[in-house]
Amino acid sequence: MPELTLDNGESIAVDKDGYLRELSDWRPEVAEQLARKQSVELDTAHWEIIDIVQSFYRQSGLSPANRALVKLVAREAGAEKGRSVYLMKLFGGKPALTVSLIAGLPRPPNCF
Amino acid sequence: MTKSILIINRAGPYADGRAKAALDMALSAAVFEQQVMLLYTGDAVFQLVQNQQADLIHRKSPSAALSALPLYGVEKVYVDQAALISRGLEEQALAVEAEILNSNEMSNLLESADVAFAL
Amino acid sequence: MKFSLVVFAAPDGDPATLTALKFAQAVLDQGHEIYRLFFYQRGVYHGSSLAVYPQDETDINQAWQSFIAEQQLDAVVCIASAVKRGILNAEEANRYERPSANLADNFTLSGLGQWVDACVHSDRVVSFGEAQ
Repeated sequence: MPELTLDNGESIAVDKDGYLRELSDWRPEVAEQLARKQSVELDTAHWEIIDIVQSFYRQSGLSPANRALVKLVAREAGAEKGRSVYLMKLFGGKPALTVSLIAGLPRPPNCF
Repeated sequence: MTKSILIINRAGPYADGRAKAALDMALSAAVFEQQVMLLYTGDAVFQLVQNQQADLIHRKSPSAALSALPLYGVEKVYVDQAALISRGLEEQALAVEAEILNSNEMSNLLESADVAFAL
Repeated sequence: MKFSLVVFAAPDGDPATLTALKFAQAVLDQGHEIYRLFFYQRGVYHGSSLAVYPQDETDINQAWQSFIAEQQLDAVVCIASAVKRGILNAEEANRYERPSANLADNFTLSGLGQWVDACVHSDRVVSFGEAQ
């Protein structure tokens, strides 16, 4: 079973695509390591987006798909950041999927 | 090409999977740039009631997700007036901004949609 | 005219599945076109290649599967509805580390985007069975 090893040696179970098996395992140190597996080094710009997405999930129960993610970030962090290019610069080619993975949101069901 | 897609909600929030199925359809259509309209009739008006503690029965509250509709570009939410009245619900109890329709207005709404699905 | 069908009905026990199949046959018999079949919610069980029916009952899964193969129809099974109900193709079985795949030939697993696309590109979209 694939695992994620934290700096303190602790193991966290993930699936083969790198998503957490148990969402309750999420915490900031886990996110750092999840991100590293996606070749993303988290800084304040990333955390701003992660916080937005997590609070959206807490409120709505939804993992925002691409277009919704762009609009959500625009609403919460300004139009400058609510753009695909900005999110792709931070999280790579599939920002909505990658943000969900790092933020410990449920794996999107591929539906939209 | 854009079409207007009307999703008619008839089911209560937790009776079965219809509330979620309808929401998924609405969000998908919105993500793919269609003009989405949602109509709530029958027990489905209970989906709109705010502050539902769905986690107590291990479910998600549809009204929580509905608060995200504007973000998906879904702004046309309609409620059957008779369904509200017969269930003793006031407009203020609803979690989302919705237009209340009488039966004539509902007929017009159905008439106006390119495609309609009733769940 | 271009038709698409959305099948909410489960194959076992819901008469709407047979209505849908007859309707689809009639559409083609009348010279119309079927753009897509979209199986949603319990309708995804139509995509199972493992269903076994008693010998004196109509094997509705087989009937649909033959019809789809003969007419070379685009038959899409909603992926989110399907994986939750244990209808998986090899790719999803691998992704979710399940022991086997059971999606019948000629069906594809895809998202609700395919339903939206069917709405956009069809003159009529007709749904069968109660969603549940």
